Amino acid sequence: MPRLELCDVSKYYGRIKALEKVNLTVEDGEYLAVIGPSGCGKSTMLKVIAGIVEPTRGDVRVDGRSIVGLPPEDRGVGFIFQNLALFPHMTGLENSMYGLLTRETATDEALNMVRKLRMEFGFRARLSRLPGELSMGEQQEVAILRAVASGAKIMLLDEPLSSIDAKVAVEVRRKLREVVKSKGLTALHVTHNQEEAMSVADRIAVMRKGRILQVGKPEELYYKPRSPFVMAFVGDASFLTGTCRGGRAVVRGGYDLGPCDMPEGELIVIGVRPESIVFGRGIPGKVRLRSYLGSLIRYEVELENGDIVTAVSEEEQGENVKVWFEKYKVFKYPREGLTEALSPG
Amino acid sequence: MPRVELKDITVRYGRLEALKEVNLVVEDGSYTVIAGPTGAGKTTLLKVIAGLVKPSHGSVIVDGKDYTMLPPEDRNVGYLPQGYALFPHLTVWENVTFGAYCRGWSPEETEEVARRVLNMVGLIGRAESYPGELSGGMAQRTALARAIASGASLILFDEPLSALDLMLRLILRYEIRRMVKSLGLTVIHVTHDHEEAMSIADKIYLLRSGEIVESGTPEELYMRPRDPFTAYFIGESNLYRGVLKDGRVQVGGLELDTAFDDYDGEVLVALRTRRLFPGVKLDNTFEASVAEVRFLGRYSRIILESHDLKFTVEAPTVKIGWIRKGETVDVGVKREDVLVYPYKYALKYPEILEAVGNA
Repeated sequence: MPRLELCDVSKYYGRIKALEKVNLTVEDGEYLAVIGPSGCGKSTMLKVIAGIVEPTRGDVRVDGRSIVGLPPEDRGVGFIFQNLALFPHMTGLENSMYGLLTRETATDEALNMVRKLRMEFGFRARLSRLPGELSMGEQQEVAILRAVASGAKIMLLDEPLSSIDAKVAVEVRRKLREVVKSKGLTALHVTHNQEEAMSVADRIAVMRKGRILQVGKPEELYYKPRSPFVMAFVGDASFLTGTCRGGRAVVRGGYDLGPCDMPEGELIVIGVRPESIVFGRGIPGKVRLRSYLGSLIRYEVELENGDIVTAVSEEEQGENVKVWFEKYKVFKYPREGLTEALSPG
Repeated sequence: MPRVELKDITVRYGRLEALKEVNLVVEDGSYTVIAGPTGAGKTTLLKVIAGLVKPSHGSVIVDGKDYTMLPPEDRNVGYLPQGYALFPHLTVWENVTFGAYCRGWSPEETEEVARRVLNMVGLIGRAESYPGELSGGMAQRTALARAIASGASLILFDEPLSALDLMLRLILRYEIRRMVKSLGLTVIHVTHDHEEAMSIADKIYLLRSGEIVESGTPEELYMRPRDPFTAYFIGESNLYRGVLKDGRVQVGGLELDTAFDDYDGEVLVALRTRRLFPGVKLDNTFEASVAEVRFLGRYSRIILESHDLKFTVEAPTVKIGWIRKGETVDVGVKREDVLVYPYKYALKYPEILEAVGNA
């Protein structure tokens, strides 16, 4: 069963480094999501695996064997694209059977397989209709059926939900994961939407400027980000700059936030999640923006020292507040500056 | 300063009614969001205010003056259309300062505002670039900056963030609001994204098929939606078909106490995903088994099963981090959070009927 490996894969377009020494392993049966801002190289990576683009350097292996140089159809990968790319003149059923028929499966056998899969996944798409007559959710189901029915054990998904209405997408996310898990497929799902990645994937790789910054379970990336960029990309976060003095993190205005495991005098960035901020004690500030989120209220607070932080609370807060950071992450101040380190690239 | 009022606005294209008797008030200095699904008439509504579409019926009143027949250039309105149009032969800086230049602002004032908005959208370093040298996201941010700095006191945004990556979208939505508030501008912002609407609006008008379904603050529309479509579209809800009798509703094998007792019969039941509280005993408490737990960051999403029903719950991770798949938990829901609507009102919304089927 398929284990997919990228070994030192680079792809250059002239002087542009679309991929730079990418190493990534997707274990057999694993659902891995790749997230990053547009232009970070994540789609190029999928194309390299699918055989649409050849890497400049490096190797792509399935179960230890190199697939570089093989034509796309011999790689054993199924592809679901952003625009779904269904054949508009074929019914849902014909679309779903396409991969099977090109492999010379008997028509009635192909028919049975597609019907069985449709039942198994609990899909409700009306397969006798043309794609143009189906809702976006149904078209998505057809695209999934086509990719799975083709028999491929590796599924590559390129922004598969970005053209669907957000309400429908939430439901399709769940279906995608269910299908991949129930069929024991190995899936690599590329998206710019970190919420989507969190809801479908076992592990997530964060990319920026052609490189992989960090790979881990959703919890690991959320609680143990190794850089301010990863921290900001996988959830709401505020950043303050400060200095490490006597083993303490000290920010503008002289506030001592707590322990800091950095060399004396080191310039640092303190990252804090909104839910780690408590109200009622600590640094005085003013509420600048209040947003209602259902069971929580999100507050943007301008601290006395000029920094702006985002906090959440179940309770109504007045305009003048005090906030304290119960937990925070300390990073070395990035050489390129904080704004640049947080920019999409 | 602008207060905008639409009175009975109807727009017909041939036989198609893009807007049907729309009434709307935008208070001076407020941030108003027009939310709704694709094809609801949101863009047409903005164009009516901008003067780019003449209504078939009704009037546009700004500060008490009738604007209905006023040409667009005399309306003092900053408009950011969905397919933004930058001047290709002008730099980012020149594009952004164009409006101020036309209005004859002083160079100092122009420079200060342009710097602020370009800083906000993270493009101060690209001020000398031409639109052709920018990525799609950068061009969109330039267009946003230009609209805010246009010098108009009423700004119309048509899906200003939808072309952007989610991360940028989440950051920029709050920054836009902060910026326009600090400049004292009045904004009407169109979006299909209900979370975006909830996060930044002072007031939301929900539009569907050319009609205003409901309006209110984000909190009002989330907590007490009067129309089933609001319960469906704004925020996430679990939707079921049930029977209401003497204020108690029967859904699947479950009976829940409600705050409604003036109706008996078939109802649509909506339970907000963020108003179901695992591990808390409330007016209604029932046992459910945990079918799935998904960590999403600040929130976690749990799928619960009970009495032949499936419930999706979204709760702060810090509150429910202890819950594991396969366990049985108590789920509490307050009486007033059990939203019910006579089922016949739901029948005109096919998307709701489909969502009920999925539950």
